[in-house]
Amino acid sequence: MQHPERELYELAEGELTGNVAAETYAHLRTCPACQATFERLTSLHARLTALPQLQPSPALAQAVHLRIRALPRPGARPHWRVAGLIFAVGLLALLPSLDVLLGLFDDSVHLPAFTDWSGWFVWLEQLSANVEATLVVGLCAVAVACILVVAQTLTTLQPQVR
Amino acid sequence: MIFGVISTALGRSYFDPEAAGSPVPQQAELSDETLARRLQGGDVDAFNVLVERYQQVILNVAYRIVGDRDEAQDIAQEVFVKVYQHIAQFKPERRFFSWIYRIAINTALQTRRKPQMTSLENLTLSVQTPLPDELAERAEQERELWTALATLSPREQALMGLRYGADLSYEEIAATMDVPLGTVKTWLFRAKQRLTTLLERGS
Ligand SMILES: [Zn+2]
Repeated sequence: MQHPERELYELAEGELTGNVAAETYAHLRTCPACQATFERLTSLHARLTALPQLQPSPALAQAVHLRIRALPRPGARPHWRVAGLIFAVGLLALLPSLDVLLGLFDDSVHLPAFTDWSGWFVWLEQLSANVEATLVVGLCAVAVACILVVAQTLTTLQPQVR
Repeated sequence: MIFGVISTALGRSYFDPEAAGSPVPQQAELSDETLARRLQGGDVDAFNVLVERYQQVILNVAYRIVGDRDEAQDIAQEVFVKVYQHIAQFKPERRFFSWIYRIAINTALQTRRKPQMTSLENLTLSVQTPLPDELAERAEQERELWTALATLSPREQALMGLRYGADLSYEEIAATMDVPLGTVKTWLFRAKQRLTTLLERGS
């Protein structure tokens, strides 16, 4: 019989059973070379098994819980409807201020030069005189809805975990 | 991060503080796969049971690969966050352990130690001077073993992590690494040949 090298590795790890194990043992008894190999392998297995086993500290689970707090709960569907609703409310709020909005693009309105600070100040003052609360609310709602859509899209596009 | 803040501001509660306590007793009896499926449905209790069940083995798989206690702790944390974050990608017809162990070895291998970086902190025995001869020798032997492990290839380190950190059988390793049983045996055989050679050269 040839030296059963691979079987010796498995035997040393206690993973060899049945006929193969019996045959390997039979060979071992007659072969000093394999006896030496087997001794080395058993000692290696023992050394690897004897390496310290760490005990998890409570801090591990605590840290995990802290970190998952900031993550979306699994299975939570993106709130497209909520985003849609906020967007619709925003558009409705913008309706009464439509003339103000359109006025921004009117040809009769001349924007001041970029470096003309006092010009901008006057322009802002004129604008705010025309602005109603609904315009502010409407613009904010539309902006929030847009951010929500982008955020939800990004969180659903997760890379494959490795 | 920012999305979490936005969503929380909108009143979505992602975290039930009560869930952080002791898991529901019945959950502890459930299989990993059932728990994973519950987590997919948003059950944080199920996640807590999985953390409880796997934290020690994941910690030790990581420790065998990186050889550093603190780093192993960080890796284990990262692994569980990934499980929570990507549980939707787990296919319930597969075994959960092979999925989580694969995440663990990939995460650990990304922060794997470089050879010769094994420090004295890795030793089980505190290094007081003078050490009794026998203890000193054991500490030295352990240091040699860590150094030898660090010079293995990433795949061999992963194998050693699964075999000796998580105490997996050859079959379980094959399922985790998605290779035939014979391949696992060949890889382990070669890895151990390398280790014996390295250790003999060292001493
Ligand atoms: Zn022989």
